[in-house]
Amino acid sequence: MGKGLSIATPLLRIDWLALLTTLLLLGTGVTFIISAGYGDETIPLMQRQWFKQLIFILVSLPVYFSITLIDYRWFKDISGLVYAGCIVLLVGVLLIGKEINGSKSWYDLKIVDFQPAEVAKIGLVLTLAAYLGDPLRNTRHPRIVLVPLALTGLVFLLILQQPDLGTAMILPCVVMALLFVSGLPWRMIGLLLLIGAMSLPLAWGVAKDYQKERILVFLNPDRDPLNASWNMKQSKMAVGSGGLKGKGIGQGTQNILGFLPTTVAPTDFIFSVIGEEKGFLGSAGLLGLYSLLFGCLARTAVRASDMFGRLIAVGILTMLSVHVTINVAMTIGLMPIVGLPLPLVSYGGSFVVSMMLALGLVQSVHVRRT
Amino acid sequence: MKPLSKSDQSKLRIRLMLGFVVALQAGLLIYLWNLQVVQGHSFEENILHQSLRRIRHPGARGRIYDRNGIAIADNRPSIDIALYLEELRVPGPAKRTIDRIEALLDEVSEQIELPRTLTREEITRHYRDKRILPLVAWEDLDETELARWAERVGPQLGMDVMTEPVRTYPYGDLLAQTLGYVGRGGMARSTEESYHFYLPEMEGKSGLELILDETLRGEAGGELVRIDVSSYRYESENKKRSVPGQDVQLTINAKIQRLCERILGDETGSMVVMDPRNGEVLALATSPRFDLNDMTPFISNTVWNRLNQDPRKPMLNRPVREQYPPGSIIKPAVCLAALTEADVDPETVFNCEGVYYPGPRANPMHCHNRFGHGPINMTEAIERSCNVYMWKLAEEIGYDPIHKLFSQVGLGQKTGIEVDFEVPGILPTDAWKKQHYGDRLRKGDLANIVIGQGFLNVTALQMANMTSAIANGGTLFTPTLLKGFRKHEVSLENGQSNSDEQPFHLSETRKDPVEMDWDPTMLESIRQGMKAVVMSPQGTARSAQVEGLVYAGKTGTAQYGSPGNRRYRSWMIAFAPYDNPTIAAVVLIDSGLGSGVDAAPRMKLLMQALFGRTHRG
Repeated sequence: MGKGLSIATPLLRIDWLALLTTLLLLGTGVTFIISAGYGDETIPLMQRQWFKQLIFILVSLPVYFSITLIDYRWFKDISGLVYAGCIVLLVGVLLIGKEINGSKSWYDLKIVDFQPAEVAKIGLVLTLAAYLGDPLRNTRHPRIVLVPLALTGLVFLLILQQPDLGTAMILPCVVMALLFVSGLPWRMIGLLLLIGAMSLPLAWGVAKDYQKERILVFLNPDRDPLNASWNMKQSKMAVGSGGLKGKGIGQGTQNILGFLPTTVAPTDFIFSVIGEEKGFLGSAGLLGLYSLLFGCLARTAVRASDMFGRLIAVGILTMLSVHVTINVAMTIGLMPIVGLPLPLVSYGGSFVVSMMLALGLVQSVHVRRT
Repeated sequence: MKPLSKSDQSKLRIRLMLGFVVALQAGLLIYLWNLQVVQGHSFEENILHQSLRRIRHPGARGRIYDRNGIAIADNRPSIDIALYLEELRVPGPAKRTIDRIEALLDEVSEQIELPRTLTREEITRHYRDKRILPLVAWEDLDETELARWAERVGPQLGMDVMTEPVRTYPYGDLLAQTLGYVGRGGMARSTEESYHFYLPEMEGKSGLELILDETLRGEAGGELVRIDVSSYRYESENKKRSVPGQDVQLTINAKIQRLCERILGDETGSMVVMDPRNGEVLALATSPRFDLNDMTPFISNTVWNRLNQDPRKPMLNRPVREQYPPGSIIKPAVCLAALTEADVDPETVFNCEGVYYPGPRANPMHCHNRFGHGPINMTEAIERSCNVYMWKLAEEIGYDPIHKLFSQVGLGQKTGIEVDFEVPGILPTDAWKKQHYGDRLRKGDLANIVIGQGFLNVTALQMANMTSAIANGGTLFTPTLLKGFRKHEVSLENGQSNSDEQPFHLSETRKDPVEMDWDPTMLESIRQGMKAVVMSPQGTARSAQVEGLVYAGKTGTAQYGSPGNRRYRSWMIAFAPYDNPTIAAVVLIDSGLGSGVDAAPRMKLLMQALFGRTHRG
């Protein structure tokens, strides 16, 4: 970086509030993973999920700070390479990936399973930010949408192939947010939303049977009373029974995580444990923490020294907020169960690490603000 | 100026976006306020007094009937006591939940006076791997046990009685090897089949139960019910109907099947009865057998070891799984080959001196009758089973026409009947012998083949099918066991199927028969020979005569084993009645050392039962 800055200097300029919120969310996650019964003494310590989660958090912290230290502008020059790398990873996983629960979304790295879609989301944010953040481009002209839509579309289709409906759904939101913030006229935004809505029937045509099944179960719970509608009802009942203050950590009687089929990724329902055990106050506290984090990300976006950095922060903000909103909505029966985890809180190795990588990237923008 | 305004615009839009995102969270919070605080009390109330239970409705497995509607594979309900782990869950480590389950089991065990069957390991395993399925604590309660349970324990949260269908074979060992058996369904093939809820409880493990598993298996349904603390179901939330499997009707006639099995008695052997008019198999008997009810729901080690260590191999489906030299029962086919493939005249006479030399320096081969049959024609040669006639005939026509006819009637090939293991037998060729013995077929080999010894190996079913083609004038069917299928329109629950009167739909999987193109007059001389085998005073099977029945057959004995350890297999093929045959049958007795057991008296028993004076028809 050659500007004579010591390593400590950028670290002192980080967004302390964002860091604090992030750590609080991670801590909440571990607490409720323990409470959800994954502290099972029937399995060895090394295999218990809360313990593994703790290890992943410890691994992700150095990643977070290293990314903070790297000047994000460096990624601008290699964004093409990053995009190409993501495509290679996504194609590769379809060919040699390991299938878990019917989705070929994972690389088996022996020690951990790695989900390339997690990294691809961040790679796509970088690529789109580099394209739209180029000061020489007229981002108000309608034509500007073509390249971002094409770049997003390819990643979208590859992730849909796995199939990972939940993760794929994030991408249209991200590209829309970036186009919006980079100044696309309102009527173009409206037009794109309209086209998006009209292409839903098309999306239905390519959806896999089990994904259709999940949505149909949501619309008509009689289709599979023993699984999906049980999950939905039980989860809603658990959250509802939490009342104002909740039953206390580890006291939830309806705590269902252990009883969910693996296809809906048990930890996706961690919010129902929080809702039952900490009540409305707990739910509100959690959503408050997230909103605080969103505020921090938005503040970084506003203060960013260039459009590239600004769009990175906006992209990560979008990604995170879509995750949170969809996850909570499906836990309380407002949305179909699409299998999106709660960022920083749900169990999941590559998810924690990639989220921390994304937040580290925003910190990198933050420390180099004007 | 442009970049600045662009920047300002984007700042504004970021704030708008943040506002939107925070508004969404606020919206969720308002919903949560309503759910948790406003309605929260009622949810909490509900949880104290009720529970949401998942009830699985088994899809009844289709039954298997014989051709007259006798159920030979059926279902019966088993009443079990089952635990619902979800309702017994104790917050905190799993250990606490398992402790609670153990305590409950101990208590109930004392009350119902039955020993606890589940170990802590089994409970833990169930908890770990399939906790959402009910855990069966006691199976198949009888009335007394059930009464004790109802009186002293009763349904409660986390525990209730549950009815499950259990496969049962009312006739035990009838058709055992062909029918096969079912066992407990395995684990889900992929985790996609979320926790095995809708998987069938039973799956076919062997025989027709395995081959027809897709047809027979039902599709389980389920129901989400609200129950109160006494396990009373007061509200059904959602329901998915179970779909019962299809019933299957076999061509087997259970009475004839049982008759054949009785006729075989304690001997080791096979019997096949076919309808030569359509290839339907009426009986496919083998001995010894095993009781199918010992095999389901699982095979105990004792039973498994007993069956596997038994030198007589009771699990073997002999008529399709074992191949033997046919002995003299092949002679009609040799003669038929000479007539139809080599234009030999049926009146051809050879002189039997009782001995034959396959080559100039070869060892002499003998006829049964050491003094010789003298000059005889083809019909007489079949009647008296003359070896020398066959050798001389073979010398004249060579192996090609014989091989061609053998191949046409299906020797060396699987018949294609619906069994899980069938052997093709051996139809020797030069290539075959080269592969196994490094030599081509010699004259001596041919001499052995035409009297049904040596390399030629056949199954009892192949012989039945060949006999059937001779009986019906030259139509070779693919032998079949399947007559029809029946779908259930009504939903069956708890394994109790209400026998409905719907007809079976005929099986559409039958293959077209193959026409042999045999000259009727040529075939008739063979049939005449076979008739004389049974009906004439010199016939080798005259002991099998049945009063009032004219029928045809052929006997045979095949030797095997080393000279000091010689064993015999006694064969008889037959078709009846002689005019318009409705039955083609094979008896094969695989006798031990020494004394040969004759097949002919057993054929007589069969024919007597089917056509005898005491029997109508």
